[in-house]
Amino acid sequence: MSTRSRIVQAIEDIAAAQKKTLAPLTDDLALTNSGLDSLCFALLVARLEDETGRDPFSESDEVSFPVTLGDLIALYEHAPA
Amino acid sequence: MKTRSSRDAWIRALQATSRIAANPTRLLADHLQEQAIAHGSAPTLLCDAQSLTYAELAKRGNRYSRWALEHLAKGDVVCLLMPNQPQYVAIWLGITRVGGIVALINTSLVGTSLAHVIESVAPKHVIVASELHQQLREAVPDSDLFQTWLDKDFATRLAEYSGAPLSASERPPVTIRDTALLIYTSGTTGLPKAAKVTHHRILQWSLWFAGLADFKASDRMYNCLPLYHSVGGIVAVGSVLVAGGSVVIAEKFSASRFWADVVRWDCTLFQYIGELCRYLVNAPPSPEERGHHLRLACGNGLRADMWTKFEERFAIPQIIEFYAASEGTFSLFNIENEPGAIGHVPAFLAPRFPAVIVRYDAEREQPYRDQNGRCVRCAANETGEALGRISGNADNAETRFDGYVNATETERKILRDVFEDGDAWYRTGDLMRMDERGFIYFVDRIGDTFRWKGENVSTLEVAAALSSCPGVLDVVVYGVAVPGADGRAGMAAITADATFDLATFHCVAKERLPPYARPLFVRLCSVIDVTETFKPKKQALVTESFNPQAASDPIYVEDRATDAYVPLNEAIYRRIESGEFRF
Repeated sequence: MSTRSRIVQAIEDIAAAQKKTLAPLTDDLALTNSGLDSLCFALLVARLEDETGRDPFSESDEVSFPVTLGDLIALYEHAPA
Repeated sequence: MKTRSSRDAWIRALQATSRIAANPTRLLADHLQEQAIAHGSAPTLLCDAQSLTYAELAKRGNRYSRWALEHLAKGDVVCLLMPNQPQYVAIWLGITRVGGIVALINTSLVGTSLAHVIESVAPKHVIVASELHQQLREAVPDSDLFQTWLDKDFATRLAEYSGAPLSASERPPVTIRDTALLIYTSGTTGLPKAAKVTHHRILQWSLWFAGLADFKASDRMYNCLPLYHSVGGIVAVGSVLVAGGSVVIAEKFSASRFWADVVRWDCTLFQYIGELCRYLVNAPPSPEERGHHLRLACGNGLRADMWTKFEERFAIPQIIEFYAASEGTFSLFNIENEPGAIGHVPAFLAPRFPAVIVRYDAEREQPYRDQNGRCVRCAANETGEALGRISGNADNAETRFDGYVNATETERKILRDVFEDGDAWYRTGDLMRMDERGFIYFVDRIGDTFRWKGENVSTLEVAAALSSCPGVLDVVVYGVAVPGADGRAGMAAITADATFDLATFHCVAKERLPPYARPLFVRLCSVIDVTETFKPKKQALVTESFNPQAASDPIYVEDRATDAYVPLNEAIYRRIESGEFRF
């Protein structure tokens, strides 16, 4: 499974479980407009770490949260394992 | 570096609070009734004089509900003036559950301050402890405005009501959006203001802390903070009770008894304010100080210089420092054990985080506006005022600003058109800075307020009280740093005529002001310099402080031993500087 499809799947699962309505998941979607709330973002980061062993936010204190979905995917694609 | 465990803590807190809105009629009292049904014989609120199980707490709460149904309409206010005791919590839980609003009154208020806080909320009833009755009568002699209930008589009346769970017909439509409590905040302007605390906010605080710190039924909190404040009265109690744990309610803090109490009650949690930690660190060793089972100390105002000393000397496994205001729209939490920080915003919370630090214009005493009239976010490590976003959506209780009883006061705290047309932000009145790693540090209160003994003191209020002393012409009140003490101590610079008498002045201060607000230092000025707009030049007074060498006027200090203001000479000054002089 590619990083992209893994992330998209995780977002869809979490949104469904939290009863959130998602905007179309395009690369240029601003994450603040995605329909995900703070809990969803936290669950997403936790799930991706479980699945990939990667947490780019714990690698450095200075990584800020990405603005768009495309930025988020790129961050995980380039994160060290 | 952030760990998985801190992320799990955030997730628990977010999950616990995300369910509040789904069930708008489930109040804190309902959580407790459920606990009472599940394990009624478990302890809840404990003290030497009286300890309650969950079943007993629920029963008492139900009796207060039934009393309220007979005596109050929805939205009627009851003032509660009582020292810390388990009964206190039962009273407000019961009354608010059926739509009454309970105003929690600071028990150290006297005279006009006490009259103001009561009259400003127009109560139908006042429930008062016998030992505070005289204080109430002196402040508000005309009690036709409300009915007064002495706690003992009230307890007798209560026994007439059933303690059984309320039936559906006894539950008026009260939801989480309704105001439950009024909690007073001194803020930056004038006399204390009554902030509205909704049921949603009570649940938000309780469930958030329970999730964040992973409270369990086996946990026991040591709570020696006043029950009339939001931290001691709601956070420290509600967060433990929703988890099925118990809370020891100490009437007041005592540094000499503290560790013996914590050990005797076998507490696992301690709710602090920074000043208490400082007293404990400065106290002589106690045989029990490392023999406790505390797993967590949680609170606010623990400064960096005390943090490590407190943690190491007393072997405290974890410290959670947080920042919140009774009426604020956001909270901050430092769960990463970073000494001195009041909060940290993890990256995954940043996109939706409802707070910002903006550049502050100290001259105008307002956030700075650029050429387009917008506020400017501070860079890393730059100090500015913290603002909390106010949601335009009234259903979003998370970022809704419920404000004060007084609508004008509410509007004064709101800043508009901050980053775009029509946005609205709550002004905290607090200066903060955030470092490159996202840790946030408290810098100072803005303007005419300082903090002493864990209380915010409004200089305007103190000056107003002192001005009533015969012979006083002008009063300027400000806070000054005292070596070895947190916050700032009150100092009054006064001008006076020949009829002025220092002993009378001391009596007036004691009569009109709670102990934490009384000036510890008095500067008898020949003249108080003013600016071109006739504002006193306070900064020069603050700079000269109580140093008898720096100031050209005589300075007096409150001496506890003789209960009087005494001249502050070089010898006393040196004792203050070395921390030997006790305040």
